[in-house]
Amino acid sequence: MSSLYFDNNATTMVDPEVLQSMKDCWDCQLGNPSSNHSFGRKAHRLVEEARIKVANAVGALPKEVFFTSSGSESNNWFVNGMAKVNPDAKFFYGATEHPCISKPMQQLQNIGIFSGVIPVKTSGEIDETFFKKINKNDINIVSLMYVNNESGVIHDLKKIKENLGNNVLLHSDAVQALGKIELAFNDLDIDAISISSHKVNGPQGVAALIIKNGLDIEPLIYGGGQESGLRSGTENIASIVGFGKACELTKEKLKKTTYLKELRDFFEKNIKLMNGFIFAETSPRVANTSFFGFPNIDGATLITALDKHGIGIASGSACSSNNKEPSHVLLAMGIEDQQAQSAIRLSLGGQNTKEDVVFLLEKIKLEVNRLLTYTSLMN
Amino acid sequence: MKLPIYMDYSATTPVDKRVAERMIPFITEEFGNPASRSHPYGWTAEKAVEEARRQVADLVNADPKEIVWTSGATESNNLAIKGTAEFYSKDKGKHIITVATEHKAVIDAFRELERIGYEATYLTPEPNGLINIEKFKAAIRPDTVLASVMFVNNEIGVIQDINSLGNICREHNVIFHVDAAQATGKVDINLAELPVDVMSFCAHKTYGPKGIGALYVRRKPRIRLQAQMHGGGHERGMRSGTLATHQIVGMGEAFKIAKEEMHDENKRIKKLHDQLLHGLTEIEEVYVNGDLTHRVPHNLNISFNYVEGESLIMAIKDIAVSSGSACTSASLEPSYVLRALGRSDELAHSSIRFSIGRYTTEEDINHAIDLLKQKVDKLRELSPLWEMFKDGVDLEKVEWAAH
Amino acid sequence: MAYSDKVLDHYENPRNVGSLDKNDPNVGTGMVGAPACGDVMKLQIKLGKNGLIEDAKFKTYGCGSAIASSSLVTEMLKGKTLDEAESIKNSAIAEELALPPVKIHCSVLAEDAIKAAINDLKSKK
Repeated sequence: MSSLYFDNNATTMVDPEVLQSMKDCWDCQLGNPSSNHSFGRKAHRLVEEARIKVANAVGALPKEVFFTSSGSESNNWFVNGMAKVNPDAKFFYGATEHPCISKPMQQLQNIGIFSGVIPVKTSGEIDETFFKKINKNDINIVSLMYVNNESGVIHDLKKIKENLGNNVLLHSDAVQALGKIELAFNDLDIDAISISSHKVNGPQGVAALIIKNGLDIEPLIYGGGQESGLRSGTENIASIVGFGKACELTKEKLKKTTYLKELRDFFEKNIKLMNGFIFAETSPRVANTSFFGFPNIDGATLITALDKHGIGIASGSACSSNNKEPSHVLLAMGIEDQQAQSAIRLSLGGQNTKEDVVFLLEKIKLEVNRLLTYTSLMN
Repeated sequence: MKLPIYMDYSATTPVDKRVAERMIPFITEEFGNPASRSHPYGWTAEKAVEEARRQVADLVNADPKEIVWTSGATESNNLAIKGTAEFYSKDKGKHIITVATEHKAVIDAFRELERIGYEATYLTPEPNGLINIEKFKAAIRPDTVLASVMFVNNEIGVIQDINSLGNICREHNVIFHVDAAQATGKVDINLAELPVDVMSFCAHKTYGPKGIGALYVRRKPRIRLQAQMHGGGHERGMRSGTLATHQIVGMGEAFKIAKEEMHDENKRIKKLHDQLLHGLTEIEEVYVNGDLTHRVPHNLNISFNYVEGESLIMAIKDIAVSSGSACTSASLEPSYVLRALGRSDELAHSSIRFSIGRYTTEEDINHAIDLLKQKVDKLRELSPLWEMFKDGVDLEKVEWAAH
Repeated sequence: MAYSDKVLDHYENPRNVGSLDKNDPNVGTGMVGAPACGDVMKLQIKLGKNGLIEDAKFKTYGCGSAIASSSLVTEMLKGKTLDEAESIKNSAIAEELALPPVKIHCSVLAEDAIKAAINDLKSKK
């Protein structure tokens, strides 16, 4: 298959097998999973089967999987739900976190709870000197993303956990990690992770918070007491079933890592030949992502130009593509405004072929040269 | 006739085939993150989302700009209640009012606000399930910031007088939230005229998919609320999180169909309701729960005295019904809604909620009536309470060896 | 909730439903539970001349497990002495019917009903 869609960190195409599993849900009449009749029991069984598949994909127990409506909800829930149980705790989050972690963390300050930032280095990696400087009693609950959505940088959670010690509760937004690197929740020995279906060829509108068995957390959404009382609301059955199927397929996706890395490396080699630069180039990164730019070229302008060729590529996080601010991830890494303004994110999916990438490179070259002519004219 | 017969439409409705068909292209060809503005994949999704927003707004005569997507009615209720209370309490105060017969999502959101320092009044409805307007008015205090009343009750189907309640709220400058999850497609909702500030909706009670809902937030006069989920700033900052395009499209289509068909459909359902009511009330010692006039025809909640509800549901396993709200069906407690109406323990334990809808047939209703007559008879033969009743014993006067 | 086959069997074909003459000096009647709790069990036993329980009847208002528990108990009681009957434990009933944890109270109620019927019988002697 071939595709000019290079924005797979924003959302992915639903896998045909996933779609079929969802169609099956709509075709047979299902009840409310909380109902005791046969329609309800069948719905309940489908939800529990999906829970097992999700648990298997992330190396957790089924009872540690709690379905939510999005990665954003999972992240908001963790922050809000932990703050209710631990009002005296001091919260910290990474400087390059997605807004759905950083904003609820900042909101905590409105209700008198401390939240602070853990800095990153120019490489995008966590600045470990922070752990040496801080008093271990002044840091209680931490959220650090496993894989950055823009730069693709992988945080070494095991090492970070060692640095923090066992008294600190650690959550990780692993939305961009699932399906891209091996995810072993129990082995990582951390307290919670967020994952999302639509980043792994599952449907939108369903995600999960994986909570270590025994961790005390309050709900974000109250009501009928679904999800063991921790997340109320009638279960989104068809989407949950699709998510389960998509998780089952992540094993296959992981086999494509080498393929994607070759494709990405080929892309980056050519970008550099065009005088482009790669952000976080030497850091540990996921195979499908390249965060790049060109001197004196505005990222958003180049993206619009590529769009005319039918190419789907983004400047960074989809959520913030409405605003003209440069990437907060790059600013946190200490990149200058002007260089950050040039950033474009390539995020490959299994459907992208080498021909697609060659076509993309051709069009980038064409448009970069055209845009540079304008810039030189204006100067 | 296909067995078992589904008569639990108030718990959830099947997805209409037309809705599913409309959703599927948005899972495959038209995929794309609606917030990705930089490429056409995203644009198509955004257009579809806005079209669906208009369809939802159309059913309730609102402006599309007043519709905020959520993951369902539970989230809508949580957002409406906590969001407005938190935003307006600084100026108005921390007293909140609701009704004892509300859905758990409303009650539990109120309980959560109580834990953080709010004071709540839970009004008891009249025995017919309706709110006494004078009692409602009397509950309002100078520091009342919010009142929340559901449009149509999920267990007993009664319709509250939202217009009168809303006017009282307006007079006293109280934010008025209405949970309309069970109302869409069943009663006419005209938000251009109804004095309601925030209203919750969901798709899966109106033949749309599960996992998607909406919150109406009035613009004139403008109602503000404190977001409960923060992040990318979707939905004008009121609710962050990537939107599920196919589900939104499904909800839009479901509401469009509801608008087009509800009047004919409700006439048909009213006939079925009357047929069921007449058939079942031929049985001795049955009591309808909830007002018989101010109710939607989709719901019939009946107590079969001297027969325990769960065993009756087991006996009529050919028809899928519930003893009350699906959310509480795991508990052994009798329905808190029926208790709030002042129903005796026996009657509360003996209730069955029949809820019918788009695919219910006359034949289904006849089968249900026959089955109920036969099984109620059988279980009463087994019931010591029935025997005592027949012997003229006053059960109220018996001293029970409670355990 | 999934019921075991044995519960379903007793529920669908309850054994020994009915009433005995409660004024008969050889009949003991036990009525336990309350409508408020959702279960009421009436159990009657009739003692034969040989000192063994020759008949047992029940009527139960309650869930499927409560009906099955009382039906099973009437079968267990027949042919037993009063002492043997008194030693029947709720755990034996729960185990025989494979009751789920939330339904254990039904077996407790059945045990209470046996004791109440025996006490009634003894009080007549």
